[in-house]
Amino acid sequence: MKRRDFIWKGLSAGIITGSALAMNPFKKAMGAVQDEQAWDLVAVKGGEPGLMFDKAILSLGGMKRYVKPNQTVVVKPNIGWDTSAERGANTNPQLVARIVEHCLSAGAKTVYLFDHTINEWTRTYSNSGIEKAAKDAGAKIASGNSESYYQPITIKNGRLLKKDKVHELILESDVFINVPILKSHGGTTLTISMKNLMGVMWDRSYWHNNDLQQCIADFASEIKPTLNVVDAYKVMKRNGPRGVSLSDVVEMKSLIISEDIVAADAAAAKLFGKEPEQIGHIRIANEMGVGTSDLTKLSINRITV
Amino acid sequence: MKKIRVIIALIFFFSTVFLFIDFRKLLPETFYDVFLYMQLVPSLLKFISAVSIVTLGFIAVLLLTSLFGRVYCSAICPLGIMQDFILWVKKRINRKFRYRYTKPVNYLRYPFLALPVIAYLSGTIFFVSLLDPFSNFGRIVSDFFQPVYVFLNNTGAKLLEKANVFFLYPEEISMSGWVAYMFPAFLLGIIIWMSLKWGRLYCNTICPVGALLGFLSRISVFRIRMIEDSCTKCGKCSFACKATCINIKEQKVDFSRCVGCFNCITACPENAIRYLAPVRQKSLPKEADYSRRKILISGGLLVLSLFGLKRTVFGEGSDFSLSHKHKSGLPRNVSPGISQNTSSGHQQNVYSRHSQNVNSGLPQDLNSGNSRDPDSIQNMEFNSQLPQEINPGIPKEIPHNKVPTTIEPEKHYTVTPPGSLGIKHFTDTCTACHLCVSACPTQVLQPSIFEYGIMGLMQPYMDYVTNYCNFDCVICSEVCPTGAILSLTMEAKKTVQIGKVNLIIDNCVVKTDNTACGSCSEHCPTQAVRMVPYIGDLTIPEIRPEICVGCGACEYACPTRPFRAIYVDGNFEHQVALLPEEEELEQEVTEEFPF
Repeated sequence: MKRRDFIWKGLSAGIITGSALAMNPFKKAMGAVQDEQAWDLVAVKGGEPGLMFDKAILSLGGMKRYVKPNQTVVVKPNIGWDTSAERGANTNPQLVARIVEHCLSAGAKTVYLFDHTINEWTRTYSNSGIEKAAKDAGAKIASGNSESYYQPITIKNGRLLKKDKVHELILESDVFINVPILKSHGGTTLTISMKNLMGVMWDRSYWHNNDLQQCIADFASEIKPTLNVVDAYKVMKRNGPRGVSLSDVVEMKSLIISEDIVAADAAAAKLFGKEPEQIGHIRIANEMGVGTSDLTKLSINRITV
Repeated sequence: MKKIRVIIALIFFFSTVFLFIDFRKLLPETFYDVFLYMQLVPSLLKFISAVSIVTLGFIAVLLLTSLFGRVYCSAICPLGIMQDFILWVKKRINRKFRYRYTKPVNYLRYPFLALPVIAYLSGTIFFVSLLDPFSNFGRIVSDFFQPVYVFLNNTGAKLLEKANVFFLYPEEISMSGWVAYMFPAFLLGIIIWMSLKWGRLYCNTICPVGALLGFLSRISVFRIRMIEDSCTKCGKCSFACKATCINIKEQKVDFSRCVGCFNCITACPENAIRYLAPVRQKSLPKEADYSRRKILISGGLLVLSLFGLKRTVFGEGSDFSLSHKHKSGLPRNVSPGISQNTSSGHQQNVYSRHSQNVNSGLPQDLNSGNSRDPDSIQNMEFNSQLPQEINPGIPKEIPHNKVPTTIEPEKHYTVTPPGSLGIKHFTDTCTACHLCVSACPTQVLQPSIFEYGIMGLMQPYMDYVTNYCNFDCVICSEVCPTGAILSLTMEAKKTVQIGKVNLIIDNCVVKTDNTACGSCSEHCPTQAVRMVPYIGDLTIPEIRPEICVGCGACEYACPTRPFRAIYVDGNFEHQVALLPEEEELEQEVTEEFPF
């Protein structure tokens, strides 16, 4: 089954189940495992990364809602930099591991994990701590730094970016979980979920050359993760996205999770202290209808641990 | 005897080969130390350059030779063992093949020893690089066998991935111009041809290490001797001799050419050729009387002169700007009177002169020989040409900013790897064995063509078109066997400034296209290039060269073509970068969600 088909079928199944539940007289009994309201976005604060994810995914109805038995999952954290975990340049390894565990216990056949890294990939994988954490959790580590993995796609709704090359694991897996880390960024002000997708495509310099912010929004209109999990546990407030030292990082101990990539980025931007409209690609993606950056229109579950 | 030799040789050979093809750096550092310790030329150079007594491997080799003859050539030297491989294969194919005694080709052999020694003493390592067997072997393996290994790895990875096994991962190989691979290819051809035709003739005619050890082996204690009484002159030993040094008619062994393979001993049915100490010998071969004293004296003189050289280079160091100017094709208008050991003030002086006079020193070949991206910085004489004329050389896939950039970066010095102290030390000590080239995880180290001038051919340089230097990495300094790249701690490496950042703001895509980028700053480990507010939401790069380490990440990442907006110009002598300042951030912990 193609991923897109799956999402579509999954959504329809969800709608049917949802309506069935709404009419079910035993609604209360079901509510014990699943929240009554379907949240558009869940924000968690104050816990350890793994625990915050547990709370957030439970509030969305558990990982079983996204991962069906025997499906393949690809998890895409940010592993771009050859720096240690506490520097906040790469996604938190505990969070990544916990997501992998949830996918596997939901019945996933295989959970793949990769990133098209910026520094030399074998070093970033190991020094970020993600390789070990993910392997221990049962994920299969793949490389994203070989062009042979990248397959051409067309971007139907792209304003500027019409085609690109995307990692085959993204195209072939049933479920795609995007796990960015919230950071400052010299060029795009912030890097969150949409910017993290630059690690699933091949030629980044083309984007940098041709209106980076527009390209980010265009790409997000085509490649849509099943779920976006924004790691805001340690947040790099300046000198991003690589950072110079530990002094660039503050501990926010937060997590945002949403199916809507624009909403996730808008909420994360607010968490960072910026308005979503200030971030070019969030503004453009909202205009293009990739998602919504207006948080007042969304049902948000705010959880403090 | 032969079996022991073969086992030791195989261990050394495969270890050395693996060192040169190990692109994932699976081997620990100690492995390098152990197997490179006994390589004569690298060890000798490291001794001279690193001023260290831990690199006494060459003395061990000399002692070994003076005791046992040239066992180095058959058991340690990878190039020698490679020839043995070729000969072994040949013997498998043609079992009837026999070697015949030949006379030594001394009129080539000793000049080939004298040439690198004299050239080195007069200030260029070029001929040492060209003739050193270890470096030649390194280049052959690193330039040809490693790509094959990577190819096999990639094929294996693809197959395993089909079976859903993620054990191997593909690796991209990036190679700069093919010109630098010409010499190793040529040499590999020569060696295969010579060994197929004449056995170990290369080792006894062209190889300077062979000649040097041959010289020394005239005095060695244990040697191959023929027992004339038991010898039936059947010639079997001579037929088995790869070095073709057994003269069966006169029952003599030219031990200076014997590579210590011991095949003759195995071949002799009468046990009439033996490996003996002088005490047990029955008849002494005539050439053993060869004036030993004379040889000892000349050997001593050689060692002394090398020490003398070490002193001139490291003790005084005043004349090197002059010698360097001659050696390198790079523009270098350094006035001979001024010592190079000065601070950046003098460097600045040099820089400013170059900016006016940069083309004059460049050899013409530099332009024609450069087959890489036309945006390469070396094409300074293309200044007058329009970018459009250069464009056809760029493959179509390379994206272009809407407006092609017009201002060409002006580089004065090639960047040398961190730990190499600067161009002078590096080009004086590197024999271009390419161990660092194959060990470098980012492949930023590439064999040079004319980046250091013709005399620096094949010496690696930091090629920021191919990649950039990883901030948290000191692998090249750990593996370098000659001391051209001296060992660095991780902390020290982070402040070694191998070059300085330069910004051409008029090439920057933020300015030309009014779109966001930040690629340079994103890659910068020290924020020596940072993004500052520009028009509206846009940010534009700003540089602080004093905290730049010269890693080249910004230059590699800069997307503009044909010329980049940001580039690193090498430091002739490496300097110390200032540390980026650290201000404390306020830990803002709010209980509320801001949405």
